[in-house]
Amino acid sequence: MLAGLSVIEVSCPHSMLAGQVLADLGADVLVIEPPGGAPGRRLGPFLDDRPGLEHSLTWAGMNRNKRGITLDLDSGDGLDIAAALIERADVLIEPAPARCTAHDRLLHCVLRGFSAAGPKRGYACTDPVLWAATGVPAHTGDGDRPPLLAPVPQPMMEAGADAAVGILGALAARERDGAGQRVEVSTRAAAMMSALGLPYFATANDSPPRRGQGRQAVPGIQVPSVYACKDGFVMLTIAFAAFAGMTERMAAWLIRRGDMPHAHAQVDWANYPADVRVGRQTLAPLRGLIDGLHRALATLTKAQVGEAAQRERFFAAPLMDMADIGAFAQYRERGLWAALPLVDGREVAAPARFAQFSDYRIEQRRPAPRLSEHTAEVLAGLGYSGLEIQALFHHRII
Amino acid sequence: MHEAPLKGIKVLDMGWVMVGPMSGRYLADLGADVVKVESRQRIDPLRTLGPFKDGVAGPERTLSYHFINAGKRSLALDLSRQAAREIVRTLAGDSDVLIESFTPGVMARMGLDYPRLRETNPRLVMASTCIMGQTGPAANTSGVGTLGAAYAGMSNLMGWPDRPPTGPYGAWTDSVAPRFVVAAILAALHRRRHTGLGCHIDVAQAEAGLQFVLPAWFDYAANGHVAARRGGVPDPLRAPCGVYPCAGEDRWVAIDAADPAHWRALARCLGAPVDGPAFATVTARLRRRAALDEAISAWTRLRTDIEAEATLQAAGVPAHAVSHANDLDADADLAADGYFQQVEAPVIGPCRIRGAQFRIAPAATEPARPGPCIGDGTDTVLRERCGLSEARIAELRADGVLQ
Repeated sequence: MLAGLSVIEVSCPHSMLAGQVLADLGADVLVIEPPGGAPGRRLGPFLDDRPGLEHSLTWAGMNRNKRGITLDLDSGDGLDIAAALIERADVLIEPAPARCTAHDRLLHCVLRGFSAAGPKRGYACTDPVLWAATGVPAHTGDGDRPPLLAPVPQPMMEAGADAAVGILGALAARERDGAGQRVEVSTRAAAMMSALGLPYFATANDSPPRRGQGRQAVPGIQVPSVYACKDGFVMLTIAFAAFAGMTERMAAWLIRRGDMPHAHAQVDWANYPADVRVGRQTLAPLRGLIDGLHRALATLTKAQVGEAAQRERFFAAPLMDMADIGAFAQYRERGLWAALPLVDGREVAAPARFAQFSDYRIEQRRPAPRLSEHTAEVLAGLGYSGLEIQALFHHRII
Repeated sequence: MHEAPLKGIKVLDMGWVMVGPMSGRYLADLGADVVKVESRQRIDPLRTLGPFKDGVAGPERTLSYHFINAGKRSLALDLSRQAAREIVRTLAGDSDVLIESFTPGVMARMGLDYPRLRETNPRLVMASTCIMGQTGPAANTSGVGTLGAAYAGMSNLMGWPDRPPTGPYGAWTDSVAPRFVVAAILAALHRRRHTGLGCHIDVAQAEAGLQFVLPAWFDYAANGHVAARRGGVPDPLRAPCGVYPCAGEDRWVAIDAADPAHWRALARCLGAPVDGPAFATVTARLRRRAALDEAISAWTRLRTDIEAEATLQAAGVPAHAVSHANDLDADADLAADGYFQQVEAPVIGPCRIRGAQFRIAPAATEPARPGPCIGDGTDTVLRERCGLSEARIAELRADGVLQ
């Protein structure tokens, strides 16, 4: 897809997914790290729970299909080498403040935390802090407990994914105009995508539901969305209005199983909330549905619930853990996985194929680079002699 | 004068609810002419969901619809009618991109699957996105983004270890998947500039979600650890790191001062309660996480979230109030960045819609715009793109094909 596109990525946590998406789509991505290793190498989890610059699984999982060099960008030699590499590149990705100089055809993507010129532009930030600023955690979790942060850093994923899109948009402009482009990504703003409609409640003169409380579609009753089943939990959506068909089929399934009274077979689920509000309907059918779900689900496994939802066509899904995901026939048979070699020689499955194409396949071409793995070959390609490369190492520039 | 990157690119957006339309919005922000196909009879469910302007429900009043469909034109068709499908086929014939998010098989039943559309338009880039993808034993699963989160493993990870999972906020994969849909479309358009050929793209929303939990996946794949819910500890390698209670009802501040330099700055703010050897080293802070969190909470409780954030940031400590939805609207930093822009929507008047997710210069992205009213582009699209006469359009309308 992107064969021939040359990308330089000055590695930071927020650049990793951007570089990987471009690399998976065929671009030639070269990662620049400081001689002590990129910050991403110190992100857990670690292979066999043993730390080490070659052991970060986050690094291994987010830098496949890239090559890597080390370079001290605080040194004159380092900046010279970076300039020579950038001169030959189409794309440069780096964290703010930008240190590398752009040429006039370069697509220069800069990733920052907050705004470019607003009051929080100089804020010290890490992923949990940026996440708190999106509005998402205040509305995530249980109502009687503190807001919930994500157990896997999300802002770095959000910013990386948006950077990939922005760069490819800028590429279209360059192909047309011939001019280089600057792409600016605010991590906080990118991560606000996960807030979906939350920021719009203010304009609505409304407040979103409090953390831990679903939207009360039907007055007087809290409709749960997570239910216990035999071997874990499942998520289940009881919907009305446009999605009422899902609820009709769910109720029919429960009635057929004997888990819901026959008396509720003819409920108009599309208009049910309105009917309750005007007194044309009681809460009994919805209570019967919820009780029936608790009864039915207690006898089924996560996988059986998933199969029932697919067969009967209602909205339910197993809350899969990572072992479930590894065993899920759908992912395997669809070809999601590619074999990723780890530093110890083992191969693990990587969910590489985030998209499938009628005539292109995302391949695992190379594992994430080891620290400085390609430094010598890249410098030799720039015309540096063997002696010069040794001298750069001796002086801690590479 | 630099035009937006995708000026002149024609997109047919047959998506509904969020993933497909959000993908279309990215392309609209990049300057593409996006025509959203919808129907008054079988209304896009997003038009029935809030929040509504001034809290008053109505299909043209949904702010979620406006922000996800900003800058598009609406073509109102009854897709159950053969004549409507012919119109889509004609439009697909001269479109660059078609996005659809139906359950697999629906487009084929309408005669609008990729192999057939490619016959008349080999340059078409068609993207299909559904929960599980177009292939595999569970391909025909219906679902929304909450279920995508469940299949991606995110729902099970979010919550407290002593309680059932709470899941992430809302229809999570609806915010994740569009990035992968759009990156794939833009890469395919790039290749088309050189080969002249389009392609079909298939993005499973659950698989896209998995990209955002990669560290947890590899912890299992390589180490066999099945990640469990961690509640208030976002990262077991970091302390202090979490949310701390502030003055006021449900007010909190997030602080991450785990790096030694950040800790020293925080300790200067807190003073005596954290002085001494108890919290002097990284390991001491990890081992006494609960006591440390209590000492920090004693300080934060005396301050509002905004005061805590300001004091700590002034000292160089990563900290931010845990923003509530309605705080975002008044956030000075978002305002300075032009995140929200004032637009004028036909039925509801003034409202604030976010701009593009990133800035591109000099080829600027489009400013924020409202979403379309149902069918506001029907006549112009049929005239300009399908070459239909006024008489034919009137006939189709009388016949109920246009609605």
